[in-house]
Amino acid sequence: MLQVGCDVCRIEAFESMLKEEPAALERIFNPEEHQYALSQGRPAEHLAGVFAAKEALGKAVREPSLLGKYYREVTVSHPQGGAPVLQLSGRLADVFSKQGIFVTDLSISHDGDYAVAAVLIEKKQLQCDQCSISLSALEERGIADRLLQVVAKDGKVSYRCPVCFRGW
Amino acid sequence: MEKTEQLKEVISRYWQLSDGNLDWAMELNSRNLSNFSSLRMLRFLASVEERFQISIADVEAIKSFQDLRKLVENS
Repeated sequence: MLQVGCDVCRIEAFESMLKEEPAALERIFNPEEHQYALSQGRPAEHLAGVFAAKEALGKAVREPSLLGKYYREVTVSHPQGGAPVLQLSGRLADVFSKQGIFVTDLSISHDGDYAVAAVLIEKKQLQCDQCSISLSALEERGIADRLLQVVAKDGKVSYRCPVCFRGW
Repeated sequence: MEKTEQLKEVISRYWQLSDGNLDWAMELNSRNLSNFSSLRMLRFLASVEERFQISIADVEAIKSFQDLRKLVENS
């Protein structure tokens, strides 16, 4: 299932935060994002766009308040010449992975006083890639380990139920 | 200045609430606070952290100004 979230943000708020509230910026942005914004012509515009992206993610997963604790575990980076990319880390990445939530796309735009962002996520019904038992079926049976993530050498992620994982 | 008075100052700056209309038990949400947004709340909490040299690790635990007051007074 695909779900979309969007958010709009006033750029002016970040102009005053840059001048007077560095502690607030630290709560939201990790150093990589902060540095990137400062290297741009209009840092506040970039920060507003990145913040809108983080908020849009919370809306896409239908838990707007979830991100409050995890802003810094969502990183928006800008590959050279490409569209911005949203990456998850730490506990948030773990939570989303267990729920079968994958970030599919991100778009950020600016105009005048505002920055806007849209995030598309895919919510997959996780299942064992070998025996096809679903995550919800494992949960119903109270199997503690549930689905285990297996990352292949090429980075491709697959899932195994405890039985298939251990080869019983 | 007492910590509570200092906290009132920060509350007033972000939420335009003064002695007359500040309800410490009020739930911090868009129904009760004009101009409420997640960004404003973040800025407010960061400002409280800076002013009182405290760390608010669990943002979700702060449900009212009273919760914040306790945290500040115990610091």
